[in-house]
Amino acid sequence: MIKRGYWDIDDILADEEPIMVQVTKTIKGAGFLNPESGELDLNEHTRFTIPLWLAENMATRELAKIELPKIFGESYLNILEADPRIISLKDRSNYFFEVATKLNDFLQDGKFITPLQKVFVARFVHLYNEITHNSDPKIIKKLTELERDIYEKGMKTTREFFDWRERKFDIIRSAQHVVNNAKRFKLK
Amino acid sequence: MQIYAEKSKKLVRELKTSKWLPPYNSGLINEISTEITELHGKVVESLASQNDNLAVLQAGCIERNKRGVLAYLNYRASKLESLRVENGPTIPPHYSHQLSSDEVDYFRKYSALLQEYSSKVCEFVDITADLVPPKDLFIEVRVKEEIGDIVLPVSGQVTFKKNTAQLVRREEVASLVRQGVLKQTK
Repeated sequence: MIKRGYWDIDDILADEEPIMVQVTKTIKGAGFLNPESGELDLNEHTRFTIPLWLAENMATRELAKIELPKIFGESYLNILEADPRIISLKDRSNYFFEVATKLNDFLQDGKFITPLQKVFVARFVHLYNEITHNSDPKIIKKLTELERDIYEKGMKTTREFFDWRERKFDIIRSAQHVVNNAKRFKLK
Repeated sequence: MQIYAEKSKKLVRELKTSKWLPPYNSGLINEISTEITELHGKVVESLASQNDNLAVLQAGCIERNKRGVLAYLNYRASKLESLRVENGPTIPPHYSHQLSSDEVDYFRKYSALLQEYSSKVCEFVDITADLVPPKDLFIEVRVKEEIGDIVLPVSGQVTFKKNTAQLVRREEVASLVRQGVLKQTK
């Protein structure tokens, strides 16, 4: 389900999530990565925040150790497991599940990934019910980017299914983005 | 001190925040390319001083910038392609000012290629038309925007006045319906 690819802009943005790392090896002249310290070199045992892509880059070369972000910490997971459906994951990270799967390759004790799978499934079932029965548009606010994608595709499929059931499938529809943009254009 | 690869992040984020496409940001792309040149000089420097780890990190920043810009261009190009299929061979006026001149050129050439391919497959078939077979040859449409007189290939001259309903041949007006000028009522 999670797309991964060189060209995918969601994948690029997921790589931008800030991650805390601890440097395991002093690198000369790499102080530019941590402008707050104001030093020229990146010293051993420094802890600082960098984007995920850079953290991956450093971790594969064993220059730094990735720390488990707070959003996957035990206390947060407990809250999530209590009721996965009503919690707004968007507030924590717009790419919550993507970041989790990426981090799983780098953290040895992948304890956090199993509960997250359950959370995802629970949320997905909830989402499915929302789409097929009573869709409350407010739900979008709580969804991460991935879940929103599922939601939009689900809504479209449901609409097409109803069209098919009422034998309306040969009606030509105008492209949705054309309609949206034309309205905005007129307002100006 | 500046943080590298911040600009490419901004560039990609622009794509997400707009409904269709953001205006082409040539200024930011130029800034990124100067940043890449600057980083390249630094990589050469650190390789000369045998500082491999630093060179790797700097090269990583270059790769990141490159990926951001390429994904930006690729995303825009694919949006243009789907616009051609959905909306016919013309760019709607409220879209054209969001494109760079190269992109307008790309759209035109893509359109020409598609037409050439279409005519090779079969002379009378529009390959961008619907995949679902129609139930009826004629459809009833309501005119949403004033068009006036136009000449259609089979029906000849037709007058489309705003807020009137008409019975027309399906395949002739399909593209107009998809552009939102007409609306199918039955």
